Amino acid sequence: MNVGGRSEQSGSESMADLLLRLWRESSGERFGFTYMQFEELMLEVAVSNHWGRDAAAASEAQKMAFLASIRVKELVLARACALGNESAWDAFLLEYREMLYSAAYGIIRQDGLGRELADSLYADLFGLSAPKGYRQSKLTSYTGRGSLAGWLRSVLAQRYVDQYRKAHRLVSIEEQDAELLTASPETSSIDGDLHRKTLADCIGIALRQLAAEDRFLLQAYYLDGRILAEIARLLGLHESTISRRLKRLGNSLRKQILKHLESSGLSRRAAEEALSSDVRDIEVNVRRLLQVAGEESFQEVQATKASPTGKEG
Amino acid sequence: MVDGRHFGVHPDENLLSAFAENALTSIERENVLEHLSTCARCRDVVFLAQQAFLETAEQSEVAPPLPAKAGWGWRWSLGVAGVLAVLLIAVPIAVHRHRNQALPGVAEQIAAAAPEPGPAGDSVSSVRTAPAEPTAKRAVRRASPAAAMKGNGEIAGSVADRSGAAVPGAHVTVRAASGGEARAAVTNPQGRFGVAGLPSGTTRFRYGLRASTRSRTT
Repeated sequence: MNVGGRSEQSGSESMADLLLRLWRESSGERFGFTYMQFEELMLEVAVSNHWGRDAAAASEAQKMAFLASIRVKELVLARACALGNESAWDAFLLEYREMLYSAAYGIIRQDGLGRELADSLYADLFGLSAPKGYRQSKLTSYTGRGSLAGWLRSVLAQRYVDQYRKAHRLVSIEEQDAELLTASPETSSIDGDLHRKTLADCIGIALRQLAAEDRFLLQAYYLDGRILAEIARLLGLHESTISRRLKRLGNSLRKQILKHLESSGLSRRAAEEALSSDVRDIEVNVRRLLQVAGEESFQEVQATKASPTGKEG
Repeated sequence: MVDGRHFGVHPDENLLSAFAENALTSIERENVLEHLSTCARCRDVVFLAQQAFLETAEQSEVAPPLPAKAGWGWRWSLGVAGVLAVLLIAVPIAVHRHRNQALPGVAEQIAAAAPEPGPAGDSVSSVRTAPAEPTAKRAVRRASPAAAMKGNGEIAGSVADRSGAAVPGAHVTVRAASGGEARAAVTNPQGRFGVAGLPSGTTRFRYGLRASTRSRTT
């Protein structure tokens, strides 16, 4: 295996030079890594990530940019911990222990449960909760794409969300059945059903034409109940930019839906009436059309529990 | 999916955290967004991880605050005079760049490198910085342009008024001193903000309420 052949030149630095530089930056020797091991690790990360794009289409420069973007210092630390290197563990605990507990608290907002969540992750990081006879540290799955701290926060968040959703599913089937029964329309007419179906189709078409980021915005703001600041922070944009985009999206969606309604045979007036007559129906349709398996976010579930009225799309 | 690649059930923690830190390639980012637009579970994960980031930012403040009269050697221009009184904001900022390792005394070095204290009144009451490496700037300069532009640094902190009370809704914009895309954040109800995906090196802040902003470099 040789990632960095001298012949593979790109710009002023060859792949081999880049790997050597990254190796020095990684402080791998400190944790007993050899250069060969480091090179193999980098290749493993690159291949498992398809070099950040379609592997076959990646140019040499793109491959080098991908390798340069890997957080080698943290990657080596994580792998050394997974291999049981004691000085790596010392470094890891010094750097991340407090952060991990704070992050768990930041997610759950309860001391006891936060500590429990962090402890359970620790067990996995040490490889203690693996099946009998086979110990593998969770740190093995860290690939250095983002920061190790960010990865730890994501693992914690993922665990909490999965636990929450599992518990929610277990306790709420009866509640959901009851909700379904009460949510059934009391009156129904052929015309009404037809309009609703046409409307749902048109909304579906308009939504499918949106860019992924726009659909994400709609989901996060209208259906999950996230506030502008949260969305803005995640996307690295200004809050007012998100606000403007949502407004623009709303207007554009309305126009598109009206257009589709008209082209499906409704008059302009009937189309406008169909769109404005029952906002609640539109929201239900949007949820179904946008979301896989009709899953609700627990943010949304919590908001619904806290208040019977929510945002409407 | 844009390029026909699929994540399986969900993108893993690596992709989700790299997404939040703006460390993915454009194709990967598009794929993750595509998934997030249909998956409530993964949206919850990225938003909760962000919430945890703000919490840990609070905990990562390691250096002692500067003396109360310490400040920055320039006066900031104010946009609207009427808002002047409201905008005398002190900003304790915690900076942590995860590409860098903690070195003893680095926080003090950064504090020492700050501009000379200015007159009290338009001052920043404290600057707290976490791990930073003196060589980070040079390392970025030598990296490939793509890597340098990508940026994996994170900055988080809090905005408080002179009495120490949190200032929610303050707008904070962060931009690398060398230029590039600005990253924006708004402080939460606890006055905290966090920005990820920054290149290592010198960073310029702008912050304030709606009508006016101030800036500083760290």
